[in-house]
Amino acid sequence: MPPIRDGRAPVLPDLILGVGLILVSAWVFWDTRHLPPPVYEPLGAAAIPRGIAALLGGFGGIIAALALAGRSPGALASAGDGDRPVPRPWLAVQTCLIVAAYAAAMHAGLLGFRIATFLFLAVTCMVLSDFRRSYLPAIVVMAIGSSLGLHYVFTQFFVLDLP
Amino acid sequence: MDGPLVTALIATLAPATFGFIALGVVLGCTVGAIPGLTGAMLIALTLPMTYYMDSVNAMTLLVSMYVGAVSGGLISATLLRMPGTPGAIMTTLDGFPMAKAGRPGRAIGFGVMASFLGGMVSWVFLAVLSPPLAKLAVRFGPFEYFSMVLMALVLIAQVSSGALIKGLIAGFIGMLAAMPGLDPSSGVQRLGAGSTDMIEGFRLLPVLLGVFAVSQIIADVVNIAERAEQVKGRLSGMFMSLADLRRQTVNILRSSVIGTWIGILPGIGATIGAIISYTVARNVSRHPERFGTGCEDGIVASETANNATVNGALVPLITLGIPGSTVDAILLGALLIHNLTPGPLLFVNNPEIAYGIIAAALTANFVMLAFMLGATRFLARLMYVPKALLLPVILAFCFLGAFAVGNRMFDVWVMLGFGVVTYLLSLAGIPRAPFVIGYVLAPVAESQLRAGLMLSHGSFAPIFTRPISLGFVVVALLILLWPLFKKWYDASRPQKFGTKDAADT
Repeated sequence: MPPIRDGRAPVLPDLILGVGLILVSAWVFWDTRHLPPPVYEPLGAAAIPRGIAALLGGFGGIIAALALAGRSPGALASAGDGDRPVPRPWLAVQTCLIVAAYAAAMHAGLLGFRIATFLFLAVTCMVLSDFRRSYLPAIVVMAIGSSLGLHYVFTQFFVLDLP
Repeated sequence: MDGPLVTALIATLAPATFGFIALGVVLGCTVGAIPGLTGAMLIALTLPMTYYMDSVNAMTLLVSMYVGAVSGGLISATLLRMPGTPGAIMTTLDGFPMAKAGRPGRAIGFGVMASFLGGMVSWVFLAVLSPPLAKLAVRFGPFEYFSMVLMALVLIAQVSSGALIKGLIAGFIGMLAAMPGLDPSSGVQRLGAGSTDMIEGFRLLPVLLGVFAVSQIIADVVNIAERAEQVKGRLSGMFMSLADLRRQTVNILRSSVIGTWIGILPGIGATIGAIISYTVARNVSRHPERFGTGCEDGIVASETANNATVNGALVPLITLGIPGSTVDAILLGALLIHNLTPGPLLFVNNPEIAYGIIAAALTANFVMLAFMLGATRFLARLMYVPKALLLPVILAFCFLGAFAVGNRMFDVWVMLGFGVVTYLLSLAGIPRAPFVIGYVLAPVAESQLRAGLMLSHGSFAPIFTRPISLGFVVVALLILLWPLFKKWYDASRPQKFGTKDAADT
């Protein structure tokens, strides 16, 4: 959690959360508008999702209002952050993009499981290890072994029809 | 101890079942020892592979992983000052200073023995409490179940990290995530935008993998530069002497009871149990100043309690169908995946599963003791495996786990989506535990409420007129109002002092 300065909590995540919850709540009400009314039982299909959405919308409103007032419920100052290394959110974004590309390549039928998994493991390991050359032999061995091993185990033992 | 339990205990010694217990404990301890990997992640990843297993062996394997993972966390907590699992957080406070002072073997030995004894004491509670509680719970009607689920949600929201409102938001987001799909009563599709992929809604396994594995991996990648302070030294003198044991008897018993009780409370797991137990041990100690400096009492209190929560948390799972912790939410999912009905009827319809879980917890505890005492030296080396090589392989396993559910890529996207969303929610302080509890309990709450309303012709009054249901509602309200009362109480105290001071002057 980001540190708190001058006694005020970081409010942007809360503001986004609050607005997001209100939007989700509105979407639930919009999406359930065509659901038929109850026939054989008192509640019907829409009641519970709408009830939950109403509560979420209400909480979202509270969180957003508090954020606009500069307050964040439950925010704590993180002790000892000064000693910790700098977080690398862009590395996580890159990893997520690689994973999405890995899944999309197989979803679209561009690559089979073995080749896609080999490429995915090799590229992700290189990115996460900051392209250290000393890791390269281990990465290649691990990527080949894992892609072939996983394919063998999941097709032969668990009888999965992998892409 | 009654007949079925003895039979189940003997069955755990059969070669295949014992093999699964040993495998579960070994994998659990190994994953628990590696910071960044959690028992929940391991169990979620293993779930798809249990499709092909007999239900008893599947639950035995998963419960053994649970026991192993909670115990393994103490190794990295002691040697790296980095808890391998969240439940070992308090062990770092005394385990690491003791290891740094040249006694890493003694620190880990105390932790292992405390884990074992905590598991043994809490297992007695599990074995003694579960059957009669299940018999009592069979009498629960739909309104009792509905109000109990509500109470569980409020409770987990209250004790989760951060504010109550964010815990409640997490719980309700989890409940909302369980809503898409075919309505159980009318059969119409809701919240799926008409997509055929969404007819079954978000399937359990991809959601669990996303929440526990993918989001954790994202967090690990963000903090990949984190390097722990290491303790070097021989791991010798790991056995606790009888004198040590005598000195720690009260601490072990007290921490076991605290851990078991915290475990029994719905949704609260090892972390809270260890924190409370450690705090109580320090408060009643004659030397509270020693805590945090390498005190044996601190290690024992923390490790006894976090292992005791494992068996404690199994009590509501197998008797009421309410998860006692987030890992139990996954175990609940495992029961559902194997077409078993969690709750009191498990003892009636599938006694071999209910008693099998209880028996596996005991045998796994013995295996854990032997493995941890014998293999800690090797586990200690695994902690240093580079995350850059480890995390991508786990992601590949996640992919396979999600894909295996129904041989379709849609579940893979669901897993990735939930992983990213859960991680982003965590940035806003939304905890994972209430989310998962809400997700697994929402269908139960909805079906019970709707069944109850059909019986009462649409009246909500039985929620408040039936004594047990009213009891759950009152407890939920007390939990909700407690922070307000505490705030008022804290605000009123300095005022009183101020008045007194003013009067004095």
